[in-house]
Amino acid sequence: MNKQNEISDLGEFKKMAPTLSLLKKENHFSVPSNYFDEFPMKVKSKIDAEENASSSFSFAWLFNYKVLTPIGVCTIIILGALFFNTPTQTLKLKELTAYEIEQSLEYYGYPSIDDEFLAVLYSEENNDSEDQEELSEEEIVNYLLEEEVDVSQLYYEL
Amino acid sequence: MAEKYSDRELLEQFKSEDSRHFAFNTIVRKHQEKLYWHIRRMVLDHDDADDILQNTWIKTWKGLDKFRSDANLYTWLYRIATNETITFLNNKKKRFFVPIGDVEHELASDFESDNTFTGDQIQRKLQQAILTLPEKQRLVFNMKYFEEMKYTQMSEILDTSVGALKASYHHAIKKIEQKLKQD
Repeated sequence: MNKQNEISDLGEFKKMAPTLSLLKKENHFSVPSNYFDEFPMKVKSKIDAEENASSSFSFAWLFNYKVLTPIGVCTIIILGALFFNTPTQTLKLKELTAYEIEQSLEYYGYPSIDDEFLAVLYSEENNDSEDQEELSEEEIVNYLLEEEVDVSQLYYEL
Repeated sequence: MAEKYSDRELLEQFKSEDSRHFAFNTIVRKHQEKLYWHIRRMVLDHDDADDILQNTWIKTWKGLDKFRSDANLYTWLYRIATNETITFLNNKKKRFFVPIGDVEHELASDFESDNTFTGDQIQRKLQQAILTLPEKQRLVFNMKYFEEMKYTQMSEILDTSVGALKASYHHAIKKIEQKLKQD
């Protein structure tokens, strides 16, 4: 039955395509020499290479954008939070001791200040200060004695 | 030597760790040529066919464990090779932004400059005529005309009904005959 089908198929084929039916079914594509002899080894090498690559632990997955993007975003958020929440210290001049001021001036160098400006500043300070008290004569004398001030020199200068 | 073993025997040997590589190597040697020409007739270029064939066998290696030994190994291999070929051709379209109909046109122009084809003028004309067929029709024609495959086997491989395959083949023959008669 199958052979009959084949014969009728062939007959139909010759009827439908007389030119094509006359052509020989030949393979005219060329292949590199020894290709099929060497091919099984080539495939085996490729399979072995794939299996070795999949069995060894690698960090390649870390460089996937799906991993890097959330890590990057989290890092930015954390750094931003740390930066903006850090309390800033502002030092006030009044809180510094004389020693700290002196040390700072020695380290950074004395700034050039206009003497006249300093004098005005000093006099303004003295005039504006509400805490300024007038000293009694006794206090002045005690001061002079404690500081061992040469009264005669002072008299001379005044 | 590969023909000495049946597919069933080779599949049994593949299950054992000791004889797995020998069995796989024998399966490759047994079926490589037929699969190669099946692929080559579709993509024309040897290097492309070589890549696709390697991918076919790598997939075979990975899937052979789960393959049911009562099924036809040859049909299964053919199916993998066909799918890999179609994937390759589809990727070629995407890679070069080629419209679907123009891959065949590209293959045809590559074939014109192909020095590895050793056929005469009429054979070259036949190949050019085959390249004018749409992809699926070209597959059907190659499998029936060159590989002389039965429709039932083609139906399993291409997952298409026998009737549709017959119709496709008849249309292919008519088109090719027309092209061959043209000057």
